[in-house]
Amino acid sequence: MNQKHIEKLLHFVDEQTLKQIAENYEVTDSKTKEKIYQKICEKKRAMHQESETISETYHTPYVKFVSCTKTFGIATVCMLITVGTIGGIWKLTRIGSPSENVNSIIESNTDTLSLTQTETTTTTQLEPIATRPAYLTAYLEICEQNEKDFNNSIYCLYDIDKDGTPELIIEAPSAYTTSPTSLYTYADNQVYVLMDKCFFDMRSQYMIHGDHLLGYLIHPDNNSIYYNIGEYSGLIYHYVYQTITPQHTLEKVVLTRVTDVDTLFKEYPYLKEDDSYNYINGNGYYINYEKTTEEEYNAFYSAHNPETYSKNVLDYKSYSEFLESLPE
Amino acid sequence: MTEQEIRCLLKEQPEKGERELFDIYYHYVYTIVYHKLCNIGSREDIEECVIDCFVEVFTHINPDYDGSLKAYIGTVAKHKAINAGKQLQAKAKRNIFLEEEKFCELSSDENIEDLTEQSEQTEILMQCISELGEPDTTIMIQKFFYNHSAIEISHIVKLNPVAIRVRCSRALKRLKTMLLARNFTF
Repeated sequence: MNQKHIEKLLHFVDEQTLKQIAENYEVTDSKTKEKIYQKICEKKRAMHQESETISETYHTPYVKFVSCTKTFGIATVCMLITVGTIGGIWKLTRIGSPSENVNSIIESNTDTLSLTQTETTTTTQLEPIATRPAYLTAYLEICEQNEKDFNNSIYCLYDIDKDGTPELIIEAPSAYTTSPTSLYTYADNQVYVLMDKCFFDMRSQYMIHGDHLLGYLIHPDNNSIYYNIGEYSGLIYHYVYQTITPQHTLEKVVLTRVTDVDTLFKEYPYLKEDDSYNYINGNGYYINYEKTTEEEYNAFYSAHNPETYSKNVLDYKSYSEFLESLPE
Repeated sequence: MTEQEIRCLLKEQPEKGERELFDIYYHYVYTIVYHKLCNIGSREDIEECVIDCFVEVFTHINPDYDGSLKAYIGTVAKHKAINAGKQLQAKAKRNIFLEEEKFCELSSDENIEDLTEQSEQTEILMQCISELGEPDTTIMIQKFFYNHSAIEISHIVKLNPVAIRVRCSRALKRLKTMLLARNFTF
């Protein structure tokens, strides 16, 4: 009897046996367990500190107001100093120039030079001071290109993953009841594409016309995007949760409920041949297209209650409004 | 401690509640994650995933929810592990794009008949392992499921590593006899 064979067979245990092993056997020694617990506490503390910092900056209206006033005040002072310095340097270089304001008329009866009163107004062209953050510059390039490809798109900035840098969300116009959405995040001095013109990024980009569709909802406090979508008159219903990972990808959990598979395959027999639906194994509950128990399904659903997500946090604007809303 | 007691503790003393939750479900979560990632990731990747699972649970857990805590934690562990597995596979460039020409040449090497037989064999093997009795059953699971070394097993079962090796080899012989008696084919 080969030891490798035993290993291979044991790694092939079913869910029930796996749970039995998990419940009855220790997996590491107590030292490793303690080390892991300490790391969990550290990670939780780090996340909490990060979200407190962001809360202080963004979420308290009073602090927001004070912070905005302070920022505006500092920016104004800096601008005045810079303008004053540039103006002073310019004046120094221009002393003695004939284009200075001349305000004398000399008239002479004989061979005189007449100087005409001139009022010259000189305008000083100042270079705009770069105050725009790098992520905004990067996002604007994308918006500009998008506007060329898809006129009448709408744009929004919102910090979905609560890391202090907003994500860019673009919805292009569409004939469907919802629009293809693109989602970008900025980190490490570059833009990452999280969604590229996706119709809710389901298994297929092609939606069934007439199905009940809702827009994306964003959780106001956690890093989470949510939507739900019915297929085939709600015989299949999905609740989809996505989070932005530290590796700048979207991690997805799809909860699916199949309520009447007999009617489904009777009304739409071609689905039996469609690989996209081969996960369906009778009525019931699925998580990420694997059958699960109602208990597990409900546990996850309740922990990520859709009612905690908000419809109204995304403030979409047309391209021109979006540009106007940005700092210069 | 029951789940209801844990929920009360989470409400009244969150830190204690979280510690209790961790103590009760640590092995459960680790096993689930290990099972998904053992062929793809290292020990560190598995530990990192376990940490992420518990951080997720502690962040989202609602003490007022009266459903099954175990079910929720198990689900989080499973799907964190699946996602971690996908990321590890992507890093290891074990994915192939649909557009690549080679894609059409790929075929599944799964044989349903073999899989069914394997599943039956696993069931018989697990039964025989559990009949070995303690501490041999634990040693076999630690060695062949968790791939622990004799030293690591010795920390868990509180036996000398040499004793672990001796017990393991004797248990293997007994296991072979039991399996042959059940017409187990290798």
